[in-house]
Amino acid sequence: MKCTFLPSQLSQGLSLVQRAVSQRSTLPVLGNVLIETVPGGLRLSATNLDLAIVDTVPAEVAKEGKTSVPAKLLADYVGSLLEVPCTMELDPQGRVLNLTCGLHKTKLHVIDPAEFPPLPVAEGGTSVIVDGKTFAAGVAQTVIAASSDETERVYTGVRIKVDPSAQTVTLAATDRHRLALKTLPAKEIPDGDEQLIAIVPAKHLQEVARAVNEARKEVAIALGGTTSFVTFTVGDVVVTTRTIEGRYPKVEQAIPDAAGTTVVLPTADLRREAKTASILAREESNPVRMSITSGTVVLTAWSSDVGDDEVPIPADVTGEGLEISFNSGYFLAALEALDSDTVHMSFNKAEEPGTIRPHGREDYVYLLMPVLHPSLRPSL
Amino acid sequence: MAMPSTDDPWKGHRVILHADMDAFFAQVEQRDHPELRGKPVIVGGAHHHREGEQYRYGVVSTASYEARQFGVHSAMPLIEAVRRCPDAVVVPVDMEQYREASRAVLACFQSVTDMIEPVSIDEAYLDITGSIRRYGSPEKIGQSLQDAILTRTHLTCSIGIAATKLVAKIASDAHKPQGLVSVPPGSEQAFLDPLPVDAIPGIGPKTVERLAAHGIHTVAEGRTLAVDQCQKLFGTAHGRSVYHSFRGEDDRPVTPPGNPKSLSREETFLPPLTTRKEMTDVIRALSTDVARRLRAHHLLARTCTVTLRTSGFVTTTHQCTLPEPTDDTMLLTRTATALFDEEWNHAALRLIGVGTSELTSAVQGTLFPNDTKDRTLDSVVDALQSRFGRGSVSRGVGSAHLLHDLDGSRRDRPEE
Repeated sequence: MKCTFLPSQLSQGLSLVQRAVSQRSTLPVLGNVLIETVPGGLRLSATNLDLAIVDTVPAEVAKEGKTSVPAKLLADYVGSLLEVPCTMELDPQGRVLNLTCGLHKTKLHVIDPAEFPPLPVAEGGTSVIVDGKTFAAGVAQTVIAASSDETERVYTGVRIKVDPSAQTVTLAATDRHRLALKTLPAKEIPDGDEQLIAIVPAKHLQEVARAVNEARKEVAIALGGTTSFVTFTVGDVVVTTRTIEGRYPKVEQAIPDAAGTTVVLPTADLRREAKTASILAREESNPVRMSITSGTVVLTAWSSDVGDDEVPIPADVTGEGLEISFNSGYFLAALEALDSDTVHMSFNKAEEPGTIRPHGREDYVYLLMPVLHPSLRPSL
Repeated sequence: MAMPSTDDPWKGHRVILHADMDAFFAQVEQRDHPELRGKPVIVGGAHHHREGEQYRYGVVSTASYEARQFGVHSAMPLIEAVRRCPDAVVVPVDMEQYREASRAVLACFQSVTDMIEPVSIDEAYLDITGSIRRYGSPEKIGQSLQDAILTRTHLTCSIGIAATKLVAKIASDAHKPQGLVSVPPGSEQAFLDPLPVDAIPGIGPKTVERLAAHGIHTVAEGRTLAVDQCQKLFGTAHGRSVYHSFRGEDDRPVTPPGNPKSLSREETFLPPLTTRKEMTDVIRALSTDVARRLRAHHLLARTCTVTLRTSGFVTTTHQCTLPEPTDDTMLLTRTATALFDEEWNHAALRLIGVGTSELTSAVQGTLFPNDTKDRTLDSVVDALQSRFGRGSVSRGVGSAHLLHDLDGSRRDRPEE
């Protein structure tokens, strides 16, 4: 194996694939990146058996072949090189990878690529294509609601639902306290009316979103196959993730149809004031109370041993007045994820979930369960 | 703008107001039942004693001023009270009513200051030091407060104002009912001196007896005792406190309540209870009360405790963690009953207590019930029940009672 590459190009590929490298595996080869020559390039692959990322970077191939070297080390090394054409050549015994990079002559010990496990693949099933930017934004808006508690695995995932009749792909995440639901229009979707569902780890979905850029404009999702894997193809990057087995809650049904109280106001105002108020939201479950009256939303946060804060924000309020408290962190996460200048919130009761949406749009909804029984401030 | 007068006696002192409702329970009854007005009214009796036995075991909770003229006072056995005042109307305790009245009174306090320390349902200390600039002199604030309480709740109270909690409390008691007594700093001695020693809270019958033995009957006489004499008579700590009390000295600040660490309720029974039915009824009543108080404090409990004391004075306590923080009457009753069944060895009981601890003020709500947690909820009760069932022939009976109780508690559950 022998080829010439540019450090920046190899570096970009390595930074993507090395996220699938297993740092603490009992299999040393899983800490490596598999490097294979392909016509006009190098294919880089890494996997921890639950997640596999493959990227192909440009290279001038003089002699075909493959090898594997420690992924993080190679990424650090290549990332520090001057931007001049470099060469890599595997010694005839296949034990050492010789790199010539500017003045550097470097030898890296390799692991026989035959030891590299076969990469997981999604076989069969259906493929659907969505716009890359929209997908990445949708992932960012939903993963915030996923749980990080590995003991409840199903909630660490994002549920992907492909709906051919609606021509949509829906992403949903919930940690049971809140739910984020994003509907994306599909650019290409198979015919039929059978909905397909897969739950994939939120962390893995973020790797897919990371791969999206100006050159990689579309995401093709292959799911519903015979293996328990879903494959995302983003241009030359292929991300394959194991799905999470388990019953996902019926999230669509949790969203209330009607609202007794609706509040519309500039997102930036609410975000800024909620952020300030949250500094004093130090009681259990960090509640920020929202007192909704005609024309105004008053946010109150308090910490019994430090003090409290109150801020009135002008808002367009319709329906009943209401007092409801939310975990300030959960509340802020929604406002920070919102991609609209105006926020639309709707509520029914103090002990029932409220929704946060971009005003005038139905493609995103963040459903948040309130904090129940917040302790009252002494002055109330 | 006028400068504060340099001879303002309150300058540099805290201003503490003690408000004490006049014969509170009786007054609420007379307010809500016009036919009772002007009549001697005795509020008393214990709600979960057996039907028809109210008089035998109950005591006077509150006597109206009309009944007090006959020598009826709080804590007197009902049977004795009725003997002294045969014309008295005896009314059962309606705590929910009084709580509501108490909340309305508290709202009046809150219009004056946040610095409120409720002592009981009918009594509170207010630190009004910071309210004077806004609302005027302490006496004026006291007067406005009495007026506001009367207008808004149709109830009267007595108010004492002083620089210490101790003197404020004595002052509120000095001219009951509808009294308003202000004891500005510097005038404490003149106010306290003529009072009998037992006017001082914390000086009980035993202390009074000791003092009398030394020829001391009034506060003025009490002040002749040096601190070491007091300590010799009453021990180091109590002696020091008696010494300071005679001087109206008390450095306790008004502390608005934080969240309590635990909430519990226990009842003693003479004669002791013997049947499971009686006992589980008590458990339900106690659980209902504790759950109601949890809700009143806006708290949820993580732990439930049941205490039993047999007629042979053997006390046992069993505790378990609730599947989720709760203030739910039904869940608390179920758990306490299950704990009771696990604990009870068929002995007659003279005391039953239900307690909650690990209290939390808020809990994040859940959109999707967690299957695992629901299983835990049932498993707590089931495990306790099955432990009770092991080696016991009465499990079927026990479960049947439990179900019956559950229905009852659901019906009784107050709406809040």
